Amino acid sequence: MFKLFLVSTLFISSIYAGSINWSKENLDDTIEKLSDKKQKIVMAYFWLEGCNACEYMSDRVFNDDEVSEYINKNFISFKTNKIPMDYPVFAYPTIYFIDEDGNELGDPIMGAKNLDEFMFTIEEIKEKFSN
Amino acid sequence: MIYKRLLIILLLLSSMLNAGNSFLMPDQAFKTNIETTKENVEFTLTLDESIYIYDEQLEISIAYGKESTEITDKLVFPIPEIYHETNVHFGTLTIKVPKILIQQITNNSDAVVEFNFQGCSKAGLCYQPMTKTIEYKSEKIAVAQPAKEKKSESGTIADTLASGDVALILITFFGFGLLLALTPCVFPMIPILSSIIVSHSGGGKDMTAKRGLYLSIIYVLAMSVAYTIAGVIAGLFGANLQAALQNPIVLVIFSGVFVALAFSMFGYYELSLPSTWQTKIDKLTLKEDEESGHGVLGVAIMGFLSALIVGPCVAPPLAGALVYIGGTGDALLGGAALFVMSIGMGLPLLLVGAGAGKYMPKPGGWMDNVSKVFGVVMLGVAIWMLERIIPIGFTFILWSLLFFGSGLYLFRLGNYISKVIASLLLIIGIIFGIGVATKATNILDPLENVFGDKKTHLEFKRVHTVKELDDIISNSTKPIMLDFYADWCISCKELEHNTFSNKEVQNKLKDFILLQVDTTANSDDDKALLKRFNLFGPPGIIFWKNKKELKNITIIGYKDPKEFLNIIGKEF
Repeated sequence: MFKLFLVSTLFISSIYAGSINWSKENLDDTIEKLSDKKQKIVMAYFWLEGCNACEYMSDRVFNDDEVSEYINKNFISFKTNKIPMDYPVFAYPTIYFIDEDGNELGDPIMGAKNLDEFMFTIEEIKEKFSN
Repeated sequence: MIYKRLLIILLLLSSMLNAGNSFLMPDQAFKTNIETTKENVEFTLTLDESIYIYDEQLEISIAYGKESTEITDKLVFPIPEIYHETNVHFGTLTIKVPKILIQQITNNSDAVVEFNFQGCSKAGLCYQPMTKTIEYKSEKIAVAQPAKEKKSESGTIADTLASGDVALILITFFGFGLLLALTPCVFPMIPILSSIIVSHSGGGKDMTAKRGLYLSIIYVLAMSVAYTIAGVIAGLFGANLQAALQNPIVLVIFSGVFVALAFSMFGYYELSLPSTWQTKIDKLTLKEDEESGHGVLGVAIMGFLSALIVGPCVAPPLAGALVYIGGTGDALLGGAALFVMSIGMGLPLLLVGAGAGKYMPKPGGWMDNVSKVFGVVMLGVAIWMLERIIPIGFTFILWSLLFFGSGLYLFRLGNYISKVIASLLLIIGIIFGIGVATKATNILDPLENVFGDKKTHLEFKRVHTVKELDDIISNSTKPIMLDFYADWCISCKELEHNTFSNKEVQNKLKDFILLQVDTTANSDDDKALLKRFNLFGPPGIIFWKNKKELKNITIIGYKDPKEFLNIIGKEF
């Protein structure tokens, strides 16, 4: 009974889960347009097909209401499964935070994080770099 | 409430994920080592304890030339563990790729073995798919292994030569020569040699074993010289020799020589060395026999020509030698190898010669008749050579005339036995005549169009260039058979009439793409196609399965239906 409840709550929560507004442009254009926006940091998410840690991030972290709301409010989000030219990525998921000049802000997030850790990290980035 | 529950679940999950940014770089996470052992190419993947790789993403392939073949299915892997509902491997994996497998797939050429894998860290991070490669040099030594690749006849000989050791090569070739002497190839030489000895005793002198041997030695040496020249020319030019020997002009000249020899047999004239040479040779050799030099030139010419006549028959070993010689450009070794081979081939002939000399009955008037019989045989040889270049109808007419003519001649002699033989010859002549009238196409079966039961022939698609062939191969889904053919090639016709018209053979080949190259014109494209398969001329049959050439069943020379089915049965 508890299991059924659990599954259905997960299912329902996934339907009503918030979602991140991913940029439809490429990374360079996304960075370039930062100056026009009120958010001043790009969160660039590099993922890979067949990467279970990436699946975890998409399913359990980015779909979370609180997380997506926070990200949409403070960051411009970009995701790709292509190998980036300018930012070293050797493993997935990797998340870079980038300013309007294309500079990396803080350390990139490498590997999957749980909700709390992820929230903590992005709040830190936000406080440190957006003035 | 829901949110809190979710949080608990996620926290549970996250306990499996290591916190922090202390991730391993790929080369620390996956330590690889590839080494080549005696039998395998061994790939060892040592994973850090937090690392696992996906079973599904493990992929091993072999790249050679422009092709690449995945061999994952053919290898043995450790049993995977299940982690987060996925089949994965932890710890250390060793994957062995047997060299035999690589050799089979690449047909013994150099290759690159590729190991592809993808893995993740338990800490919640995945790595890009990785590829490790090792170059694999094909090993000649591997021939010594029990599961060596089977090669066709000419392949084996080329291999022996390629192994290097000069003494070994020469001994091997002598051995090949001896073996060849036991094949039907040399049979046509026995009557020729006997006829020479008989004709040389025609002058009424006693034919001794010594003299028989002497003539045989000249014959065999001349034959060896012919092969040696072939070897040297091949060494110097890497030339397409057999095709050159089948050139119409060469064939006309040779058959002309045979006609001339035939008339010499009929007693119109005698071929001999200039008298000054004769005396010298007499002094050097058989001093007691003043006239021993007589006809020596004729013997030498016969020996030389015999080598060329049986050329197509000894094609497989000869081709093997020529392939190597042409490839190395070592004219000296090539010449020596072929010389030794033909000496080996001629050894039994020396015995025949000595025997023929010794046991020859007392000479008399009948010897002239024997000479005439051999004269007829010579004419037959001349027609046989011309057959390759003249229209089949004309060949029938010539055969018919030969049998008819000799039949009539015999009949005129009038004695009882010769009349019987004459009648037989006349009948054969008439049968050939019928062949002419009914437009028979097979010289071995002049009455094919008289008795119903017409044989069905295989339909071949003609291929003209290497490119055309490559296109067909790369677009093929069925097995392919490529037949090298030429109008002048008797063995090709035998193949067509006996083997390809056989019901069982046709049945076996019914799913094949049948290709044929007509090398009659011996154009540059034809030569390129022959060269591509290291062939020196038709007949040669090459097979492909799954777009891969099956070198072990390459067929050179004529094979009857049973042999043919046996050979291709190895692969199909």
